[in-house]
Amino acid sequence: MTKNSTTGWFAVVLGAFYLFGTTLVPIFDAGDQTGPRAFPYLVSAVVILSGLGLLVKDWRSAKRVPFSWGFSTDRAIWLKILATMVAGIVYGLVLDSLGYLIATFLFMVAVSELINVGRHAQNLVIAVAFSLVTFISFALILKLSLPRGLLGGILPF
Amino acid sequence: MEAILHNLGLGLEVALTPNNIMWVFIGGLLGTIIGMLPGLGPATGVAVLIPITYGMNPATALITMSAVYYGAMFGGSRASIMINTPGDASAIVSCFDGYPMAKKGKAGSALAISAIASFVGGMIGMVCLVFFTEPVAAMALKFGPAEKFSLMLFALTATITLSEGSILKGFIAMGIGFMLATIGIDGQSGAIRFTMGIDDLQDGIDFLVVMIGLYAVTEVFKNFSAMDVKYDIDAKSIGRVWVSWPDFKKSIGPMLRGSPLGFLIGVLPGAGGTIATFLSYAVEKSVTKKPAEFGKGAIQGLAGPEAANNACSCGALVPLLTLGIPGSGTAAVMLGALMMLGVRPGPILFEQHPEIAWGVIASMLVGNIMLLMINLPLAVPLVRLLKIPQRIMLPLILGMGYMGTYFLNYASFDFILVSLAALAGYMLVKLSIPIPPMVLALILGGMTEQSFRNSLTIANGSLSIFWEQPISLAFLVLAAISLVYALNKQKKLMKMPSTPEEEAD
Repeated sequence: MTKNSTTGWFAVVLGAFYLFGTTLVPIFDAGDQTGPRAFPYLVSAVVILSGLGLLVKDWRSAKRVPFSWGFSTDRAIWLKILATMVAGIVYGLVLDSLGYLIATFLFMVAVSELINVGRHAQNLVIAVAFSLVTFISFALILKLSLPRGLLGGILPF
Repeated sequence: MEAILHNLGLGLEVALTPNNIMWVFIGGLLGTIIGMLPGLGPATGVAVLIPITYGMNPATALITMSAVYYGAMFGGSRASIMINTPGDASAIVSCFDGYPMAKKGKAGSALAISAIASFVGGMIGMVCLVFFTEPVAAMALKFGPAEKFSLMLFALTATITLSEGSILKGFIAMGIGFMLATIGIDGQSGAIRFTMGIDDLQDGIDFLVVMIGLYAVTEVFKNFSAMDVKYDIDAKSIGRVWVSWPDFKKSIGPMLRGSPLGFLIGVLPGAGGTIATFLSYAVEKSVTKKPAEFGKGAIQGLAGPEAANNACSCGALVPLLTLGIPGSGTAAVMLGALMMLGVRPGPILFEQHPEIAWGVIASMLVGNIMLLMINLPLAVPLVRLLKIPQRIMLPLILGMGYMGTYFLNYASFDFILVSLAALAGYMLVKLSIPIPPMVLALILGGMTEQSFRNSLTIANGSLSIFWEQPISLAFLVLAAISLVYALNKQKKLMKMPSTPEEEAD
């Protein structure tokens, strides 16, 4: 598959799913006469037709360069992306219970270890500095509400 | 004229408060630093710095974000000149002659003229902004739903045709943006659409979350492959950051030509600094008597595009402030942040909140002077920041991105959305699908659909309303022209010999 054909198929499938989803949208008598389906129908038509256009363009093209996502050649990068996403989602899940300082420190240690591999001391400094500086800036100076979590009773400010 | 001076006076009253002057300085400095880091542009700068605007009043927030925006424009060329690596796409042209100048031992002159040209471009852009905004806003007040829909269609078409890459991919990007915009409860009928049973999606997708994902986290993902790059910078070799009189004289013409050109390009939706700088470079190369010197360290090749780039950032504020339509990716992020603060830019902004609109415009006067003062004497210490490795900068950007996401709604669900948006952004980049049309469609999706449906209601379901109204028809014609122009351009490109990568797009 080339880049154009991959994109073309992606658009056709996405457009078809959206089109199917549009048929499930309930229509009420109240509201405007055009209804909540008209615009999504137009959007799915544009996406599907553009996808088909790319497929035709690819089919007619003389030079077809195979496209690869690089899952095997750039495996390390993809794994880093996946790990960053997981770290980000876990950060969001524990932020309220652990509190901003602890959760941000842990998140920063995790992503720094992923990116700045092997430099543990440097990563700890980055994590501590980032959590403290942002907490002081946002919670104390800009007066934004931040969860204190486990440190709620210990923090002097 | 009297009204303009009165409004400018009102704006200066807002801009010259100590608090706003401080934020112009902080925003400008942070923007300069982020703008000069390779791979990070103004949109990333504004996206990661959104949290600092929380808790501010809307005028100060917009002033700060604008300062980050044009600060990044000032800083963008530092890396181009010193290490031949542009901070973002609009700084590519600065590599052409800036880096050869540095190689010839004229790094100080190159850094100085880039700061001076950015200042001149910013000031001329600001003056144009002063005269452009009021009439455009007054005209926009007369727009009905049909005109609004056609205007947004034109903005989207222009963004697609002026974005890099295939037009079809641009339409796919636009479609994805609309798809995301339609998720949630339909404001007009109350129908729940495309939520897949997930309650958190009923209020729709917060487009600021998506933008932080696309412009902050995706940028980090893109840089994962270049984390260990080290830049060899000898700050001592820069010399005095100043420009000689003969060099300055050579730069006056390019700066005066580049500034209005950049401003006009900036006004067009979707046509950002990249087009402005390339056009300015082409103009300078065509008017010079010694075109052979271009690419080998001609100061005109640096001065013109630098002025055009900064004037372009002022131009991009015209559609944002007067029509509520962002003229660039950065303006889109700013629009999102403003809407979060309860302010909807558009023609009504000038009537209901003139202090915000004119405060921002006047703050650019202060900001440009400050940035010149930052970028001339502090050029050498700023350039030293390029030595900070990516592996230290990237975790900080990730931290700011995720933290900023939390501040939006204090919802853990947003962390899932921002992560997915970042992954989707990375995959779209891999497929060469342009991001700007998607972002614009996501922001304008609700308004576009509403205008479309309102128009049809007024016209009893007849589509003719879109071509029967003269202004609406004019926008449709402009949209058609931009499409024809882009198709012609693509045809010409296809006839040229291509590289395998280009062919793959």
